[in-house]
Amino acid sequence: MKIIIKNIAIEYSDEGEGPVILFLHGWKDNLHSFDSLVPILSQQCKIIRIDLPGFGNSELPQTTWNLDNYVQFVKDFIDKLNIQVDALIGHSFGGRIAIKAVALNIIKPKKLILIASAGIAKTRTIRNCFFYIFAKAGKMITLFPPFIFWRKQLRKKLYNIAKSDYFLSGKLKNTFLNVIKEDLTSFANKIIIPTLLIWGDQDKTIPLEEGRSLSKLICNSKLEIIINTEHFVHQENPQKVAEIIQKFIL
Amino acid sequence: MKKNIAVIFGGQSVEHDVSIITAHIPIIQSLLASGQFNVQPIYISKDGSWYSDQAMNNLNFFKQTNFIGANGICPKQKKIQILFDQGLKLVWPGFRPKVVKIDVVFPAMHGTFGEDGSLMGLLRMANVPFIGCDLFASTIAMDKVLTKQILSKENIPVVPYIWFTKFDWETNKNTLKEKALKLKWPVFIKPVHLGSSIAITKVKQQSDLENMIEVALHYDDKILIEESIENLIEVTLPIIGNDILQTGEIERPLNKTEFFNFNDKYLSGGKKYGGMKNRYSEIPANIKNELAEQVKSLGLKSYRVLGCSGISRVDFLINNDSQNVFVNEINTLPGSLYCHNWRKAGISNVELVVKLVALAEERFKARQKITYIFDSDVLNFTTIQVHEHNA
Repeated sequence: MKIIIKNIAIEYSDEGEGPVILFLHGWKDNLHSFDSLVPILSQQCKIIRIDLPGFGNSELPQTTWNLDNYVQFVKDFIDKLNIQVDALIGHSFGGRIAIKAVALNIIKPKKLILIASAGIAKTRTIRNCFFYIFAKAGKMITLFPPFIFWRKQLRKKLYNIAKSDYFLSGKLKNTFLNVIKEDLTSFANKIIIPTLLIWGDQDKTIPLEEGRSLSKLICNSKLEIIINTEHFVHQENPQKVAEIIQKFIL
Repeated sequence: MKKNIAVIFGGQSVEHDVSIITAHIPIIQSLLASGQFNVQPIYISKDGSWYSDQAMNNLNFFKQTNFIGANGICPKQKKIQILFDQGLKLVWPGFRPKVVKIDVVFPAMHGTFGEDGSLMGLLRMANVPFIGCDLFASTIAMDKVLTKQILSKENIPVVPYIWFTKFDWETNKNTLKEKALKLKWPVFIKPVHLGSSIAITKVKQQSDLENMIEVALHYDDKILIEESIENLIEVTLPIIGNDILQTGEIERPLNKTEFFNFNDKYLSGGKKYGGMKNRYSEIPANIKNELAEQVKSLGLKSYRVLGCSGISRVDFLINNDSQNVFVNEINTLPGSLYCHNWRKAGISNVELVVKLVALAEERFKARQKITYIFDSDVLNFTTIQVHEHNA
């Protein structure tokens, strides 16, 4: 189903009846990320999922966006649908949007669920400092032959090793840079609504340590760890995740 | 000697990718298989640039992830130029430009800037024979409202509808909503100029009306809202010919969704025939003889009324309760030429494309006999008038 928000055609789905749950997917993902949860949750809830602008079957934003644009977009979407969101669920990048939207009171759900959420900037970690220095040095070295011929490939390789989505972001590369540079630590601190954090203990993209930090920052929060799962914990163990969500919401 | 035939596909249209499929399956494959033609593939990219390379005769060329750049152009290809010089010529610019004269053109472009008559206008100007409907039928058939208006004038039944433009909607929203509410619900909202069921929505609740109108107006500046037939039999009839017409089989799409949408048409299965599944449709449609007769008669009448030639497909909606047959729309370039249907009617893919080329040449010859110019002394007369006026 499509809807027009600020002249962007947006794909969304609306299933089930009951308390409204709005799902926000991660980077390079789409609304189908939550396919395994929907059959379970839609029995008692109204599940609304969107393809965020630039992802899935939604159109690309005309300009380079930042996190605030995505927050405002979700707010506009909710207003246009004229719904009251009972629970807002964000996975990874979707979690980022949810944290800022709720902290600034732009979106006012009764409960918040963050699944392997991004948001705490990793710029200060030793690993990132290493990649930063390596990238800068590489940039200089590859200005000269013969390295200049391999510049593009070497750069791509480095981003792959760093597990960065930058190269895979296509037309959203600059938007990606805008989004990841924001540290949401101070925003997470402001969240007061009941919040559930769900994390996979094997998550390598956003390690469990960040989940623990986020949990400490959000005063009214609870961290649920699903063992033997990674970043897509809701796809790896949908039954367990749906069960935890149901228990938290209903 | 083999004829040079240019197959033109792609283009600035939401049906760009579907056009690539139609061009290759069956057109290019069958033209090559016939052994009668040198096929010159002409690909128009999403930014409107024209390219031609023999490698483009293979569909796999377009499956490469890097064949098209971020700006919509082919980074590894040189743009070609077209020349109107006693017909149509393709020019590969360079120190020693390569020039190829085209004998016949096979337009395989769906939607805007192709099927809508734009390309046909260009080819008429170039004075080259081309396959399929001419400019006028293509233009009218591309506008679902114009088609309905013309068909109704000729007493061909169409489903009740209203239509309006983006400007009408922005200036007169409430009146249009009232008009829409007077139709029998549920209703379909359709962009008027788009094919492949793109942006068509079925609206069941009045609360969804405004949003769905906005979606349709996002893709087109003119839309229509028409009543939905609930107990529906949807059938379609491909027709070929210029003056003497031949019908294919009446076909009933086996749609899985509530209406026959883009996914059902192109994305519903295996790779064979552009993603169409074997049980994509029922051929011939299992409908009563009287209905089948009515469909054929209305199909042929609609084809003639719109001035179609070469090939077209007429789509019908049958109300299973009242047994009323309505003409829904006319498609002047059926996806993949509906070759699966023609095969059931006993015409192979090769026979079909060869026949269509012959029909194009027949129409071209007939057009050559029409007098478009005549001698006149109006210019001399005008000169005298101007002199007198100046004096």
